[in-house]
Amino acid sequence: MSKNPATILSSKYKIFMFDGIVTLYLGPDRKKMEIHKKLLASVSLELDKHVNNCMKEGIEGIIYFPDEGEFALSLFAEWAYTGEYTIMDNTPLVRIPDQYGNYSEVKADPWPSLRTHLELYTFSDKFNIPTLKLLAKSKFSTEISPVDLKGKADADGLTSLVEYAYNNLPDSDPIQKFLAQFAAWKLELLQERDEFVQFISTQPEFMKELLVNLKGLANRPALA
Amino acid sequence: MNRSRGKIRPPRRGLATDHVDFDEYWEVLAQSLREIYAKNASHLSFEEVYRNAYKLVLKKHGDRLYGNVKKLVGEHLQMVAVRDVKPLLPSSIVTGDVSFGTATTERRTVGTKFLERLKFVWEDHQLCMGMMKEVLMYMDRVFCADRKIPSIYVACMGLFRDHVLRHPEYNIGNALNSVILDQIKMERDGDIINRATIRACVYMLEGLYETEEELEDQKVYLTSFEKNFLLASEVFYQREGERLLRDCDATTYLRKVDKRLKEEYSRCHDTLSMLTEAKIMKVVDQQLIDANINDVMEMEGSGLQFMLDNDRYEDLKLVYELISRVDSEKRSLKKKMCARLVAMGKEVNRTVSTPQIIAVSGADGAGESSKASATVVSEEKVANNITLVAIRWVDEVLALKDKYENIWEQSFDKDKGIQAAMTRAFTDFINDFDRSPEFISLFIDENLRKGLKGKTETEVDVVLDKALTLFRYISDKDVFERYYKKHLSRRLLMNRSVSHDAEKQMIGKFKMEVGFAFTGKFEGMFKDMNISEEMTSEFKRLLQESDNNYKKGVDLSVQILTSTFWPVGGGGSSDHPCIYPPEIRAIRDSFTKYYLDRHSGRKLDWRPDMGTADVRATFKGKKHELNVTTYGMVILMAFSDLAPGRILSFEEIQTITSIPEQDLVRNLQALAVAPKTRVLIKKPMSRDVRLTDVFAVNEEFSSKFMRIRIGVVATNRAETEQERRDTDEKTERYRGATIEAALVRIMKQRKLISHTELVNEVLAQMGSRFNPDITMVKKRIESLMEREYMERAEGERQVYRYIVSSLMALPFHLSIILVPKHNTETTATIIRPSSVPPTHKFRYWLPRPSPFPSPNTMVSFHTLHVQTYIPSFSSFLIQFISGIYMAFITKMG
Repeated sequence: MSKNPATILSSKYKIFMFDGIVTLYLGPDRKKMEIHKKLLASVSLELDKHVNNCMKEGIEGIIYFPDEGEFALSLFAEWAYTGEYTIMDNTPLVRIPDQYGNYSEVKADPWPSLRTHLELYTFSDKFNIPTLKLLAKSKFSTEISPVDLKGKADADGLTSLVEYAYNNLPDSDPIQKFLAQFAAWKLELLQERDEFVQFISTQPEFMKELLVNLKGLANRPALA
Repeated sequence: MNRSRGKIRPPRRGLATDHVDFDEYWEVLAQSLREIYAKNASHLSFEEVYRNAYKLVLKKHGDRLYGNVKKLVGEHLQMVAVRDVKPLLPSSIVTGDVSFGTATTERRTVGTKFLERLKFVWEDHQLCMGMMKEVLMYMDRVFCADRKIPSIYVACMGLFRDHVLRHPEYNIGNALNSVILDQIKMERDGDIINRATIRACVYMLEGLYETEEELEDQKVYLTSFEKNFLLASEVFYQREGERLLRDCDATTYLRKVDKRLKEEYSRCHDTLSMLTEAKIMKVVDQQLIDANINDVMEMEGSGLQFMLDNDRYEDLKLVYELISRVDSEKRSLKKKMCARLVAMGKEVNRTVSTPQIIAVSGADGAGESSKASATVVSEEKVANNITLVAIRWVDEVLALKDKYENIWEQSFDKDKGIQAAMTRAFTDFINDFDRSPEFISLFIDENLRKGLKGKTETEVDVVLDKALTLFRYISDKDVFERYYKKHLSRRLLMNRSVSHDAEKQMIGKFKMEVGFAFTGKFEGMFKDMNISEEMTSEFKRLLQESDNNYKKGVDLSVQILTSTFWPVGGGGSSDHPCIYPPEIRAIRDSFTKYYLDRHSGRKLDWRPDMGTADVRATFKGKKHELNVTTYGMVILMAFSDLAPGRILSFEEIQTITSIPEQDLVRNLQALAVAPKTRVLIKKPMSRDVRLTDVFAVNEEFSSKFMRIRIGVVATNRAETEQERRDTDEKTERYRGATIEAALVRIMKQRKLISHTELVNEVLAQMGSRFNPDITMVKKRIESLMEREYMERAEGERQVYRYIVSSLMALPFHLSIILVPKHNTETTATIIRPSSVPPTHKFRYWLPRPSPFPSPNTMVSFHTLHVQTYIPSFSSFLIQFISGIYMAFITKMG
């Protein structure tokens, strides 16, 4: 079939498929991963500078990311190539009735998945990827909204999440504040946990936010 | 409550690992930054440096990191200033000797080396800061944004300003300014400099700001360099302006200024900054144009006058362009150009005035020695000469107009303001010449009679447009109208117009220009001509039907002129006395009857002074057809019954014909003196007709032509002094009436108005027709006050009040029914409109004698029964209606 000479066809992949790859070594174990160089550079200026510079990385085409986990980077790569990421989770679902008597299905253990979203969110913050940051935040918000804290496991899961957020996000980040409010809402359950009390002692910012909401929130907080 | 809950335990191990030791991280980071300065970045890991800075910011060490980076950069820059820049500072500057006492070449070399070093240092700083900015991106994005402090790049640019340019010990910034200024001066003096290096240093100054807010008006370039540059330029161009004025002619001056402007434009674009363009242009504008352009324009032999006189389009264009830069109104150019234009115009006026004066004085001289009849003929000749002069005047004015129009188009970019000034100048000198309306009308007349023959429609249009152009300049349009009417009437009556289409085209142009009010009478004249033609043929037809011997009689062709349209003057037959031969009298009476039967109430005034007649005569057995004036025909008829050889004296002819003396002289001049048309002979033979002369038929007359035109009714020509005085008088009368009408209109509308306002409004309203004389306006106001149309407002100075009459409330239409009872008695009934109360009164006046109570009397506006005893009811009817109507429209405005 003859083509119209005026028609120009293009592919969004073409831009990086023919421009080589860059090798990433992830985590302390230096797990090797490869990704198209142009794709990585196109995600953000920060990542572009990691790839295209006159330093070691730029010369060798290898980047060592000792602090980034392979799972989070896999999800990042999935997002970079497809515009979406999905966490494959084997945790069973449980039916929970709501205030109107309707039932909804939630994960029996939502915390590992929530933690992964938060890791991607942190990665986006570090390397300035607003789109992915927004997607991860949205997924985090969607998954945490039906979660009800019932016992020790939930309390530990939330504590771990709060701890991660306060250690890896800047003070100005809204997720920190949200989690502090979430903790205030379920303070009764959390204050019995040693891990929680111990965490408070190391995080003055969190303590401040908790004090602001000392009486506990009347309603469930929402992530804006 | 659980006891253990209250205890604060040490942090868990996992949390402890998140602790970041600033010093440890900073040491790694600082070493990396030093490596960047040392150009050893290739072995550094971007990720590691970025990660370290990220961690420090995340762990709340952002402020220390920010401060430490600044400190490190500051120390480096201090070292650079001393180590790299200071050695190349031009020694004269270091020692404070800003005069640069060395030779140009040396100065240029030293300066360029210094600039190049500074350029290198600056570019290196930019390069290193660019890399540092990249590894510290997280700090800029999170820490600096949260704290609302400048990015590290901006902060370190400020450090360059403070530690290098404003080094406390070595005044590097001042040296930079001086070197750039020195190099620019070299370039202005014709040397070649390294523009690129200067440009790079200016980039540096443009990239640096006084504060970290980086406000656009706080660029170091503006605050530190530009003002010095502008000051130096001002001095330079002031001196240059003085030198050029002294050494150059106007054209050279203008070209040099133009070159300087282009140089400065190019300098701003290639060497300095576009930010300076407007400012340096202003300096050049002020020093080279504003300060000196008047002197340049007035330069003897090369200034504006020379350029205008010699059509130096390019130079004039330059004058225009340069003046436009300093004055959007171009006042001085307009003033000087208009002064020259007016002077040239007045010169044209003067050249045409001079021969006229000589000619007229010559005529006066002749008048002293000969009789009145001779004076008439001499004046005629002078007038004909002046007609030629008039055409020449118009041609010269048009040539002037074309010349300046060309200059305006080619040099002045068709500037509207200049066009307006030119129009004013033309108006000034054209109106300064009191015969311009007459001359312009004569020019049109000449073209419509002869000039347009054989021309295409477009060519005709061009000529008419030229005439219209001049017409626009005339402020006394009423005077022009009077002349045009006179000339047009001659053309129409004597059938001298080349083309009626062209005539109508011209009138159409007038109408477009000044409206129907101006051309209404001209159009009326054409209408009269058409009606006359129809009426003549109908009359002939009726005559043919009723009279079998018609063909033997006189063939009459009549032109009936409405007296208000035509400049034929009023009056009755006594103004143009003439005893017609019986044949003519019969046909005249026949037509009069025919006409008045169809138009009762009208009055016909026969004008023998204006018509023509074809007379058949036989000389030496050869038949000729003589085309003469009506008077000429009457004179010839007086000889027709005489025996051969009989003579008639001047006085006898005058008695037989009753022709006024002046007309008789003119006609006898044509019949008995003009060599080729001498059908009468005069004794004694001389060039002038005298009252003592005697006349006889010239039996020896011969001509090879069958038809001979013996013209006396001169074609349109310039007016004689007497005619001009008459015209002026008529104009004054007409203007008085027009001003009065305007005054009443304004008073009616405003009711109460100050003297100044009233006069101004009258001037504004009359402006399109003529420029009224203030004294005349004042007189008209007095006159209207006397006639109780207006009065002085009580208690207010110089304020008039309109005297309101009841008619003010009337609707515009007024029903008048006049019921004739019989020919000598009639009753006129004015029907009062229902909206008007019976008690209302109105003021009216009628021409005397009137059957009504005396004019200017208040009459009850009820039902007015009038009995009239004047013989001609029809005539009365017209007078009555027009009287009422005039009263009415004057009141209604």
